Amino acid sequence: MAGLRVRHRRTVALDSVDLDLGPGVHGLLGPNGAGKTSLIRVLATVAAPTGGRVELLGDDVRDRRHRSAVRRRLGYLPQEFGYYPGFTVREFVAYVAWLKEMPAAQVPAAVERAVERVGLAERVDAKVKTLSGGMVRRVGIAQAIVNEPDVLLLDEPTAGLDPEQRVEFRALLRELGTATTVVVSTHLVEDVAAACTEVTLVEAGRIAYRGTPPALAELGESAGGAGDNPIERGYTAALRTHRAAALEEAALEEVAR
Amino acid sequence: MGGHRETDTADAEGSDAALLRAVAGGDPSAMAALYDRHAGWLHARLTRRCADAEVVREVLQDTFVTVWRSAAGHHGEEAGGWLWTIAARRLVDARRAHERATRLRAAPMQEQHAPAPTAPSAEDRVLAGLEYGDVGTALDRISPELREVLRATVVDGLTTREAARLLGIPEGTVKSRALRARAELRAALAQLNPSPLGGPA
Amino acid sequence: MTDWHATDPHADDRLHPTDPHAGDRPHSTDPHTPDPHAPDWHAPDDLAFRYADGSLPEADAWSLEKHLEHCTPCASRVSRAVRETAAGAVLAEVRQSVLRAAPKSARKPAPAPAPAPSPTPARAPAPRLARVLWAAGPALRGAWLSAVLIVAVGAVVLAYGAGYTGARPLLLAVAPVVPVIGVALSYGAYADPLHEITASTPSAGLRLVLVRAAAVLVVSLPLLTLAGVLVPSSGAPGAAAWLLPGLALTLASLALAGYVGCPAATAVTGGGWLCAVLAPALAAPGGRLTARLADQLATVLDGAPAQGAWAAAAVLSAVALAVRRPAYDHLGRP
Repeated sequence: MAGLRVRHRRTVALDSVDLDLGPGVHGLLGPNGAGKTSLIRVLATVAAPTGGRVELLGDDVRDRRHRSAVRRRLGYLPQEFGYYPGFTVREFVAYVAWLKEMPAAQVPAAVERAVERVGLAERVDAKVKTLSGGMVRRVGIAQAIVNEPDVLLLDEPTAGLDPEQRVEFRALLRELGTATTVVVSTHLVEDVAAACTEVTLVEAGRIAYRGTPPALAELGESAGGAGDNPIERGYTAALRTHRAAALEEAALEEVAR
Repeated sequence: MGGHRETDTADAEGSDAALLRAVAGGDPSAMAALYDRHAGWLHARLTRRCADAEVVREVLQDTFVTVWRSAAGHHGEEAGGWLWTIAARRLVDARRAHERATRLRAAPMQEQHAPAPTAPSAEDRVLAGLEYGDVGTALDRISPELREVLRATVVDGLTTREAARLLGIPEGTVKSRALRARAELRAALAQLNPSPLGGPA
Repeated sequence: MTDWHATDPHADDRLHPTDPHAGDRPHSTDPHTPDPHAPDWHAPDDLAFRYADGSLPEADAWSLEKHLEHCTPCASRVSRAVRETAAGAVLAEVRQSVLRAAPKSARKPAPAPAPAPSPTPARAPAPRLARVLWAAGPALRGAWLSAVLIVAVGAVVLAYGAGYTGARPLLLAVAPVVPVIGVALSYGAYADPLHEITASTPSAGLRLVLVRAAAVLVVSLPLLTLAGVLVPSSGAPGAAAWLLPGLALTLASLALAGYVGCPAATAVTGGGWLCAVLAPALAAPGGRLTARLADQLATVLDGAPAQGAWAAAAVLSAVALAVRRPAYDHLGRP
C-alpha cells in the first residue's frame, strides 16, 4: 500500500499513508474520526481510494479479476453491520461463506468451527436478533473468519464486548495472528497492548507512529506522556509529537507563502 | 489454526480419521469404536488432573457429546490430540463453572494482556527433555504446585488464562510459578548433571 | 486496569527455556530410558498399567500422555488397561450416554430448537432450499414478498369475493412494476442490511444483482400470471401479456441503475410505466375507468407489434446492462 489517499466527502480522511503489513496482529489506534474506518474499508475493497495504490496479497485490487481472488481470502468485520432478522447464527455465517464462494461441501464444517472459535457453539441455532450486542459482534467475527482468511480486517471488534469477552477475544486475535495478517482498528489502548504485534497510530488521516507495543510503551516512559500505563503514555506522547510536527509544518508553509 | 500437526504416520491414524468422518455422519458404531479407543486414556488423564470423579465423568461425557457435533470440523490433526484439546477445554470450563458456583466474589481481573499463546517450540524443547531420565528426576525435586503449572501449560497446552482457571489461581501466579519452575528445573538439572547438557543459558 | 509493571518481560504464557541448547541436545544417551519421541517407540504394557492405575510418576506420565495424543495403537492399549480398573464401570456408563446422544435422537441435550445438531448429511435437504432463498437476497424476505402475495391474492379476492370486474386490468397495470420494486429492494447499501459485508465478498457486483433479480422474477412472474388467469378478463389483454414488459422494465432498471443508481432507476422505469398506462386511461373521455384502462393496456400490450417491441426493449436493456457492467464493480465511496 503506497501513497494512499482517501477522501471522505470533502475532507481528506487519509493522506499519503504508506503501510506494509505482514502476518501478525496490527493495531490501528487513534482517536475517533482519525481515519481508521476509512482505511479499513479501503483495505476491505469496499471503498476506493481517491489516490494511491492498494495491494493486497500481492494483487492490485483495482483490477476486477484480481479483486475477486483477493476477496475470497479476505475477512471483514465492519464497525456496524446488519443482518437478516430471520437468520440463525448458523444461517448468517453460512450465508457469508456462500458469498465468499466457499465450496458448498466445506461450508457446514467451516461454520461450526468459526462459531465455536468465537464461543457461540451453544447458540448456533439461535436467531441472531435474539442475541445480545456482544454476541452479535461475535457472530460478526465468526462470519469474518469463516473462510480462514489470509487477511482479516476488524473494525472496532471489541466494541460492545464485556471485559471478560474482550480478554477472550484478544486471545483469539493472537491465535489468528500467527498465520494471518490481522488489522484491528480500535480506540482502546489495552486492546493494542494485549493483542497486537505492531501498532500504527493514526491521527487526522496521517500515520503518527508505527512500532511495536513495547516500543510505544518505551516512548511513553522516555517522553513522559500522560496516561495510566506506559502504552497510554506512549500513545499521548506520540500524538503530541505528531501534532507538534504538523503544526510546525503548517507554520513553515505559512512562512513560505 | 494452531496445532494442526501434519501426520504421515500409521494407518491407525487414518482409521481414526475415517471414524471421525463416520461420526460426523451420525454413525453410532463409529462413535463406539472411537470411544473404546480413546475414552479410557482420556479418563485416566483427566483423573490425574482433577480429583473430583464426578467432574471427570461429566467432562468425559461432554467431550464425546461435543465430538458428535464437531467431528466434521476435524481436519487432519491427530485424533488423540484433538480429543484431548476438547477434553482439556471442557475441564477448564467445568472448573470455571464450579468456581463461579462456589465463589461469588470474582477475583480481580489481573494482567488481562496475557501474551501470546503462539506455541513456540520452547514447550517442545522441554518436552523433548522429558525423555531424559534427568528431567524426570529434576521434576521430582521441584514442588508439586510448580509441577502442576508446568503440566497445565506445557503438557496440556493450556494458555495462562486457562491454566489459571484449571488450577484455581490468578494468572499472575501461573506466570510467576512457570518462571520459578523453569529456574528450579534448570537448577536441578545443573545439579544432577553439571555437564554442558544442563548448563546455564 | 492493567498493571504493566508487574509483568516480567519473560513471563510469557508458557514456558520458554532460555537455554539455547535445550532443543538440540543429543538424543538419549541413556539406553535404559525409553524414548517416547522415537518414531517406533510404543508404550510397554507395564507402563500402560501403571498409568491406568495412577501409579506412574509424573514425568513418565507426561511423556506417555504426549505420546498417546498421536499414537492410536498405544491409546487403545492404555484405554483397555483403564477399562480393567475401577474406572471401567464409569466408562461403560458414559459410553451409553454418549451413544444415546447420537444426533438423530440428540434433541434433548441440545437446548436450542435446532434443525439437528449434526452439521452435514442429516440436514442436507433444508440447507439447499435455504441456500436458494439466501441467493434470493433481502427482497424475498422482506415486505416485498408480502406485497406480491397481497397483489396476487387481492386481485382474486376482488374478482370473486367482491365481484369487481376490473381486477384483470388493474392487475396487469400493476404487475410489471412489482419485479422492478423487488429488484430495487434487493441490492445496495440502502436495501440490504448486510451490504457492507457483502461488498467485501467476491459475490458482490453484477452477479449477485442478477441472481437476486432472477429470484425476484421467479417468484413474481408465475404468481401474478396465475392470479391473472384466475380473474375474468373484462376486455383486458391475456394474463401472460405483461411478462415481456415486466422483464424489459426489470432489465431496463438494472441497466439504468448503472448510471443513476438503483432508486432513481426504478423510479424512472416503474413510474414511467404507470404514467404510460394510467395517465391516458384517466385522461380519456367516457366509459368506466376500468374499461378505459383495459383499452389502454390493449394498445400497450396486445398484438405481435406491441409484444415484439417489448421483447426488443428487453434485449436492448440486456445489452445496455452488459455494456454498463463495470458500474456494478465500482467500489463505493469511502
